[in-house]
Amino acid sequence: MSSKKIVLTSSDGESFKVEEVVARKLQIVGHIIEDDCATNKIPIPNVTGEILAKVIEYCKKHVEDDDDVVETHESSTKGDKTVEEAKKKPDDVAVPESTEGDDEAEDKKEKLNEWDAKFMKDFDIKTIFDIILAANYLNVQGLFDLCSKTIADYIKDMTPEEVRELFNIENDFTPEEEEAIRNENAWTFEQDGKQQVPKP
Amino acid sequence: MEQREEKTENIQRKRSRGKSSSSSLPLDLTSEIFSRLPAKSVVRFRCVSKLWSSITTAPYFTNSFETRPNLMFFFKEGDKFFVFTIPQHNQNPNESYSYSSSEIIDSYHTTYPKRCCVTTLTESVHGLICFRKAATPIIWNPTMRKFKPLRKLDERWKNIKVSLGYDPVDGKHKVVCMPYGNAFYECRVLTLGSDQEWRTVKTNHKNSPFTFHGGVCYRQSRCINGVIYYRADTNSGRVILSFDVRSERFDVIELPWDENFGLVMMMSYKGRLACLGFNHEKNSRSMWVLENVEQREWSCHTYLPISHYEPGLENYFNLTGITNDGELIYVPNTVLERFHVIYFDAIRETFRRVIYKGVADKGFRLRNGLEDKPIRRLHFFPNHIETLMSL
Repeated sequence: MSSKKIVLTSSDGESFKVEEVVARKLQIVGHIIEDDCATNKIPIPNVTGEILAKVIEYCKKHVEDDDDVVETHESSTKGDKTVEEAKKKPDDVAVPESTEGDDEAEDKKEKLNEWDAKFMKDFDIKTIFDIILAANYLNVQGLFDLCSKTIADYIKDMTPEEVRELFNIENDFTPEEEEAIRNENAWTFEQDGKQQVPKP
Repeated sequence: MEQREEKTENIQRKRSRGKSSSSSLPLDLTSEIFSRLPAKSVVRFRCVSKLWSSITTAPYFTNSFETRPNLMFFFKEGDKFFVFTIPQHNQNPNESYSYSSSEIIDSYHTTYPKRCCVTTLTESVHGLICFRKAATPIIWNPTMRKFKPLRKLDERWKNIKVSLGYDPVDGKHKVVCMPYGNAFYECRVLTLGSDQEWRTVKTNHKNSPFTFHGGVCYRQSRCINGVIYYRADTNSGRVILSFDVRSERFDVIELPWDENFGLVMMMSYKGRLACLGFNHEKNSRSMWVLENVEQREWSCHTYLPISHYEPGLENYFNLTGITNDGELIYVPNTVLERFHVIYFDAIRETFRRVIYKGVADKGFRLRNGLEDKPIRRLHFFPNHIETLMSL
């Protein structure tokens, strides 16, 4: 609707001109716009141009999502669930007309999920770490959730040694302490008889 | 001096390492990632570092770590339980009739405490299940694969009825024990995770004692939104006894139906107490739902038998519970080769049948040394969630 443009500037001086509606998907930017503090230029000092470009690409694709517009508090996940549950209630009283609408909405959601999966596939794990930090700082909940899930899936079957290396964590257990914890949870080191199905 | 120099070196190393790599994440983001891992991975990573161990064992994390509810079940063979977790979530809620297949989520086998009575189980209450072994309750965490016997009760109580409740406000489980077969004025309550001492709580309703009549125990009580509901008898007749897990107060709910209705099962219908049974006069199945606890208002719904959808189904499938979405769950009474579950929404009249692969089929039997014979006495736990709670 509005053709107003917002210029976002990254920490290394790169500028991105985006529609205001896209810029608002970065909630921290949305708040600045709301407070009318903004000229058309908003600095994003904690995010590099490379990463900011990816965040903006995601926001452009998800510009019609309702999720990110919802005011979130510290327990944002619960907030999302509440919204989801609220949306479910009309479905309980669904009439045939809205069934078609539901099918279209589901189809659209499925395509968006496919886009998300492809989007994440392009990045190595270090880049995803940078993106999740940016999504957290800029308060882009959908991208944050997507990155969290991607990292979780990546490390799911790793050994503790591999995880330490990836997350740059020092092992501050003594060998005896570590052995005791391993023994207590020995079942977690067994191979599954079946390939575990990813949780929905 | 030497020590100080060493510390300085260590600090410098950490700093340089931090600068060279940007892969460190702050604590709150790490917790978010943990909450998206399967329970097995979370527990395995407890030995990564002291910080990770403390995050994943802290009550705020274990309390918030909740999976989507699944249907869990096990059968006993020799000295082992064979445990399966299967998804109960409806992937196509808009279809009124569907036939689909699904993979199981998890399976394992474990030895269980000797002489543990498996016919008097509780339901799965926020991830835990309670057994009885003579007069000793035993808590089972199927996710952490651990059993814990609780402190023995009063010597006078030879035969007990055990139920398990969960207070969602404080995030606490409580075990409630009552004498079985005798009239009683009081019960014993123990809060898990605290000092593990039994306390005496009066049932305290017009000085009338309660008794429990016979039947399989897991149909006897149900914990719904922080309240345990029991079927009980008083001097003036049959009632539903409620126990608020947080306040530990008992109350009595009069039954809304007449003598033509035979109660088969209590359950939670979308967070409210529902009673399913058979109306002998009308020869129909009914579900009574307690719509308003304070006002004691009930609604009644007549629903179709599953044989309406496929003839003869009721000969092979038993009602075992209801999903959080309101679908009744019918499970096979015997498993030989294939394992099906029927989900039936009695209100919306949707029917779906799911075949789950990998449950006691030939491959499974070969891997686990099980004979080629029908498996009976499966025990089902609808709406089971994983909990990382230590026992």
